[in-house]
Amino acid sequence: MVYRYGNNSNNVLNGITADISRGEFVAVIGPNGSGKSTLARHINGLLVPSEGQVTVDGMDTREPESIPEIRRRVGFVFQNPDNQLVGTTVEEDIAFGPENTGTSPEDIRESVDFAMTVAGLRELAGRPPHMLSGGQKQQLAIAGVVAMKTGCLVLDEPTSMIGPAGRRSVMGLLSRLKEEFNMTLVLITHHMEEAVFADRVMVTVEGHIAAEGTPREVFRSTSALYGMGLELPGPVELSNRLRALGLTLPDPVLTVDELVSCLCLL
Amino acid sequence: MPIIRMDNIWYAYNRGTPIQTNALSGLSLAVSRGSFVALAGHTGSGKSTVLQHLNGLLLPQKGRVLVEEADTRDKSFRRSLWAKVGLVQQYPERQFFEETVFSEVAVGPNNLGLSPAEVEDRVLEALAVVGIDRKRARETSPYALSGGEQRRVALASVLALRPGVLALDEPTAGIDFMGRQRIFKALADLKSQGVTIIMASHNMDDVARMADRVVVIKEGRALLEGSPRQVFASQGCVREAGLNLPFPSEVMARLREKGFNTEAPALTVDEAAEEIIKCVGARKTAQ
Repeated sequence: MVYRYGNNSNNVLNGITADISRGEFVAVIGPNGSGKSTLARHINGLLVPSEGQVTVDGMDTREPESIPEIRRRVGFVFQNPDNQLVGTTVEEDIAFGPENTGTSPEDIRESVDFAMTVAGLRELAGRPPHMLSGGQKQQLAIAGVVAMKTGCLVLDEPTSMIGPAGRRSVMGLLSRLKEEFNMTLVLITHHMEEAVFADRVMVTVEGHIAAEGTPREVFRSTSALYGMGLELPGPVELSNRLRALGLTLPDPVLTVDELVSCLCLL
Repeated sequence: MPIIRMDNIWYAYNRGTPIQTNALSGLSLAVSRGSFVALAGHTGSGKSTVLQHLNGLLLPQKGRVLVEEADTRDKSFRRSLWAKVGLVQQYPERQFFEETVFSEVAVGPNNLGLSPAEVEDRVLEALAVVGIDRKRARETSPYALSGGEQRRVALASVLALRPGVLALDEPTAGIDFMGRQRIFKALADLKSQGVTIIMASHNMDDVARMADRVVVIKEGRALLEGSPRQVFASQGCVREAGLNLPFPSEVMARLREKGFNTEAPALTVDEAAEEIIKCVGARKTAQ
């Protein structure tokens, strides 16, 4: 697929071909302006390709009549949590989606309770969203999608604007959605330490996929990723340095836990 | 004499209403001229509120803020204060209104009453610093840029004012690796030219790398203050503020728990690598 924002402008996406399987966790990394957000917005039909085709469960995003069903299956969470919260309390905010799809009051109650439990927001049910921390706001935005019982969740840099504690809770929630509910996750991120937890990493550069594979493949020191001007996860960078200084370590070492246990064995 | 002094400032949003939120509760802070101070704290700790006090965007409800000895509550000082302190807010892309990136960055210099040639100089210089192509800047609307690029344009529009004090709210959030390197290089250059920089951040690796002094803020108060080395040696305190250690310090702390004999609070990957090599060597000899 190809995408350009106007007829005369350059292609933002320049021939992307990819499949995402049910239950898969895909992280998309790449420099600013490389097309990550544009790509994400194609998955639920917020944008439709200028050339080529995007299908969700076989439905074409270019067919307007498919859009409501596609959006029921693919939820979206944006970078700035303040731009996507509408309710006056946590509970109301989560109910907004189910209320607008003609769901019965009992089912709305059930969906909201379920989403609050999954997202760990039960204690905060009556709290106004603007009184939440950044991390809690993103948990709430995700809960809104969970209440809609969408099978797939696309997140566009959900942790860029929040602190480390918030980031941990958002990542914890994502792994829960994958493990317990087999949710398909597409995470756009600049944080390499988040990308290492994905099943597959896609690296976008200038509108195409420049490298792709499991985190272990993509971050290995022989990968095409090197030389693209992208950051490495801290443990990968430090272990590469240590290997260059003569220590015997696996290639790559992806997490702090892994690095610490490898070093203890030396 | 510090260039900025905050004496016991208090600030609450929606004061006197049922939803009053205390943002600052008796915060004191001194910033010396030409230093790079990092305000470290998790979301909601009051960092952004502190920054907004620096150029008089917010005025303290109690206490006082002095910039070069002048009180920010003094109205006759307001105009020169805005020229002195450049503030880059957290969602700068909300404030664009010009048709091209170039004219967006030119707004500030134009308002200073500079000649067109001088305005152009400043705009091109600022764009080069943040790494936005000048040709593209003349042809492109700021809204046609990606999120990370928009943040860089916002930074450029403040840099073009050449303020003596630069206040930055999470300047690298959502910005890619190369962009971050470029911004840090630019900030280091500005510092060497004598610009005072105050940066709010929750990225402790950035803080460790850039700051001379770190102020850890929690619940609207300064919890801890010192050099990065001093602050990150106080692990418990840093964690209590909801922050991480910088990655190299974190690794060393974890190795210490596993019995590695190291006291060095590494701040960079190089320091950590050197220390680890030393420890591994010592352990092998001991076996």
